[in-house]
Amino acid sequence: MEHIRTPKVENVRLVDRLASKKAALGTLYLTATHVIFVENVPDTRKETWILHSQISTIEKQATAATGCPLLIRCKNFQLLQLIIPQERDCHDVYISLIRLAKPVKYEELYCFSFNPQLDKEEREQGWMLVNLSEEFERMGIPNNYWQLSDVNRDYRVCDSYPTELYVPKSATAHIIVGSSKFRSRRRFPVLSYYYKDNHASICRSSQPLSGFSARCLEDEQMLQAIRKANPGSDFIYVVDTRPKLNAMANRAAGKGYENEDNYSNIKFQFIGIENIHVMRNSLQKMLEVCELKSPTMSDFLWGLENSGWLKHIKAIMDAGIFIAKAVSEEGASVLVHCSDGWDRTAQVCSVASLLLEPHYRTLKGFMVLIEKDWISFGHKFNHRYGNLDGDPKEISPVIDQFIECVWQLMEQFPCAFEFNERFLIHIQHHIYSCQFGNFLCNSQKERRELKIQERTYSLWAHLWNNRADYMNPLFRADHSQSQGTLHLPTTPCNFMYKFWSGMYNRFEKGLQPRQSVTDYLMAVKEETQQLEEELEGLEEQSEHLKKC
Amino acid sequence: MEFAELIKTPRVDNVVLHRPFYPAVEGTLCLTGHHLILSSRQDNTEELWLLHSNIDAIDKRFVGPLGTIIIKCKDFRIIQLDIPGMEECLNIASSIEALSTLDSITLMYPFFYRPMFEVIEDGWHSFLPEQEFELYSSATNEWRLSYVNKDFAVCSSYPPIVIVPKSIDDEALRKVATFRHGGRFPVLSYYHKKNGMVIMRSGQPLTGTNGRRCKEDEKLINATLRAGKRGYIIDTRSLNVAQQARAKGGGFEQEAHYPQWRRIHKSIERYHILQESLIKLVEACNDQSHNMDRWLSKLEASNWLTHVKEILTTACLAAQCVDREGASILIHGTEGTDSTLQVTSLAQIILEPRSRTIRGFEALIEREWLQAGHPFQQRCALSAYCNSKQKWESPVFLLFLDCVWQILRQFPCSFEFNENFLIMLFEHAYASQFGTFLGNNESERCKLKLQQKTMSLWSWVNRPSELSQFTNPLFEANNLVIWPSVAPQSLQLWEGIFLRWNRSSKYLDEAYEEMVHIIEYNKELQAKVNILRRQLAELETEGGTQESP
Repeated sequence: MEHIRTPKVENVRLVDRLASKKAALGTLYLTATHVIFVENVPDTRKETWILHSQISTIEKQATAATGCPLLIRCKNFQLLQLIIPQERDCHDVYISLIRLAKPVKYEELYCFSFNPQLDKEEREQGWMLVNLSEEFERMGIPNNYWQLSDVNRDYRVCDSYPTELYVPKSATAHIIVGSSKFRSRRRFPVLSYYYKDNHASICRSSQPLSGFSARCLEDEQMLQAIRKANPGSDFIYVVDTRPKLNAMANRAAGKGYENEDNYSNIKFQFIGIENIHVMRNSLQKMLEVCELKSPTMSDFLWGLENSGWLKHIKAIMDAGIFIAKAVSEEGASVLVHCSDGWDRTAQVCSVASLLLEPHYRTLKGFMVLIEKDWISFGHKFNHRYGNLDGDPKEISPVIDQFIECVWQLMEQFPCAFEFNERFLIHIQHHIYSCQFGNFLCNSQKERRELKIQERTYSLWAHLWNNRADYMNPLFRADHSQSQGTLHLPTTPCNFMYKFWSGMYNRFEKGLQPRQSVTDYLMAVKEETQQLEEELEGLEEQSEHLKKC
Repeated sequence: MEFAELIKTPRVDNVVLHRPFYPAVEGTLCLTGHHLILSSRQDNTEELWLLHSNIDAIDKRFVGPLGTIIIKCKDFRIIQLDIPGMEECLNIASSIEALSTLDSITLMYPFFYRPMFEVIEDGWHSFLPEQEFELYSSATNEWRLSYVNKDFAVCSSYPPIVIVPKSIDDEALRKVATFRHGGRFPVLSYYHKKNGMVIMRSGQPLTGTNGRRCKEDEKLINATLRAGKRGYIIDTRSLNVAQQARAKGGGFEQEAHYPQWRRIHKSIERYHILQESLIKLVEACNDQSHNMDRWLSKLEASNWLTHVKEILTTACLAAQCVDREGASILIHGTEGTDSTLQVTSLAQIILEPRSRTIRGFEALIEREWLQAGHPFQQRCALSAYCNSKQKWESPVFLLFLDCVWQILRQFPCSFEFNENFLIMLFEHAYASQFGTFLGNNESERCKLKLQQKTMSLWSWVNRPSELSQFTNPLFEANNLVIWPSVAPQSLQLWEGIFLRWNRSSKYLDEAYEEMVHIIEYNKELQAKVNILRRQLAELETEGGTQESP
């Protein structure tokens, strides 16, 4: 609270961006966790709540006759334009928010004060909803080829990996440790997804420290072990998700990529996805387009193209499609890496898994997928989404892109996903909200040290309890689209990828379709269920009466 | 028959047909007077049945003795025929070319088509102007039907019957007609029952460079204003274009002579600019290269969505004047047969719930496009693949349908019809077995005796068996004005038309079926529950009577 210079400012106006003539008059409050704007209209007293952790930038604009404008941009793409009558108040709000939006300690985050009135037992159950051991069991692991390794107990080998890792049975501790020394940040190849039907697998790692000529016998043995774990194929793909030029540049720093001559029976493949800095700038450019005031069609399409955003989405999808095809059609295992193996690798592995595995297209399965490929494998949520004050160059919309890939797939396969668009939007929101503990920190190790599970609540339980809101009415477990692999063309046409207005303009309701087919169909289905129950009751009654 | 001389080779065996999303088929190609037919030899089932009038352009090429004809259709489909034998191929190509560009309307298929269905309701009489007027006459007595144009002498592109202010007699109308482009004097397009405001449409006033005026014209449009009220004139041309029109005898309403009217200029493109836009768009959609950037820049360069946005914006403006400002409006551009009709009809979609029903939308097409004299014959003669650049070819109607689709997408539960209905109308406007879209206006249609010699599209569409495929299962009638968003983020490429032949719609079709299934099942249960409830009630009363004596 010591950072709040002024807790309350009256006669503030909230400007409607689409109709700038319309502005709501109200009172602005700053609390320890939220910015709250309450409209003066006595009947409704409409409230707008913004979590401090959602604030991305705050811009104080030149004072005008009407007051001092303050522009707040949020990470969930909300844009708030306030006009504060007094320059002094505006300055105080500005200074307070700058500090509040950039907490320096985890303890300042909302999840440590958020209390949904659940008891201890309910909280613990919430954290148990998503269980990765169960997930590997569901895949059929451990089996004759794969086993659980305890080599990373107490994070001895790799501090950004989880403790429970699945590796080929033939990979001894010696091989693993040897391989880990030859990989960036010791992120050695481990199992991400196992395709039961043909034993092919998706494994992930970081780049090898190959430089121009270095080799590592254990690393070569590790890849061989992965190949042997799939008796159906005599080679594995190694997919480097970086542009070739970037990978080559890394060699000068003693890193790089696998030399096909040194590894027996690998097929090496580059699939160029740009790095986090390019993606950050791309999103920035696209958001500038979304912010344009009454743009022409040309402004919009030009801006969208110049941002490159959809091109990047397509690159991630292309990589996922390549891997899914290698696994399901060629029956070959794939090792995926980028530089550190926690951004592009996470994107690509999870897109490929989603294409291959119907379970990940269910509500519960999708939570498991994020838990597995993102949270447990050490995607740096804190750095990427700027939860704590840190290096702005580390921030990048990596998981946002994955979430968008899922939406693009939902547009192509409307019956394939158990969940709806709202589910994706709310997950994106909570990755930034810090209201739940799931996405805190940069690794499992840090989360355990912070005792996240004892001190905060799990988003997954929250979403699960409200699952009625997140259902896709077109989903049926026995529908052909919810079976097996989703087949996209190998090189999907450019026009398949569309601007996601439901996400990037989500707070501008005026731009969205005014009637929701999803909500309409959900209401019909709910009524259908009631009718089914009533019908059953009536049939019983009628039977009964006939007997009488 | 008269086509025989055009058909040099009526039949070729071993022709291979390539179509998007179908495996290649080998079969026998037959040419008839109006169709190109390919049936596979194996089981003799019909494989392709294409109207010659649907063919927009053909290309031919040869590799050795094997010829290939690429047929580009007006509905944007591209098919390929591999024909063995150079001579056969050349014969087929030239026959198709001749048959797809018949000069005489009376040689077109609708004059030969014999329907295989029973006509329940003759579509030629489904939407009579007198009946349409009755819908208004209950609400107002300020308007009347005028028969001044009954022999098309006053305005050749108007129908025989029009609705005009009651206080204006036919003599005045004749005078006004001489002051408006093409004789298109202001007539009623739409009456807003909620507040009595109206939309009128006309051709441009012929003021010329010396500012000619016409007292009767001023009197006519002022007759629609309530005392002390102002109206709006929406000119669909930019001020610049409207000013230039004066040099050719056209022009716009001068403030001095129309003091009760505020003029607003919008700029909706016309003619070849729209045609070029369509050509570029379809070219972009057919481009199979996979570079994301080029797709967006080509989409942008086509300007198609810019046109959609501009037309919708103007329609919203018109609707706003009527509903929000409580003002009557007059809309015109130059002739009043293109952008004018786009705006008046879209404004009605926004304002009038009836125009969002199937019957109401058909009535709207009949009233605001066919009767209003949109020159379909000229505008829809050729499509996106044509090379001839004739000024009068222009996808004005397709743009209108696209705008309707955009509103439908934003209000998926407010329309009784679905996307297929709009696609069907597009197809029939360009190539059809029905006579509805033949001719450029009522006068021409009368001379062609279409009502006697051809079948109306509505006779076919309005049969219950056909209607089901065009009915939107999500429809829930509402009496509201619906305001679409015209922001670029809210407008999308109409994939059902433009990507129809370039991407598989399998998964989207499955989703549609699932949606229908969910709603049908609900209705089924509802019916079952109702029956059981009734039966139970009867059983109970029976039980009661037995006990009571």
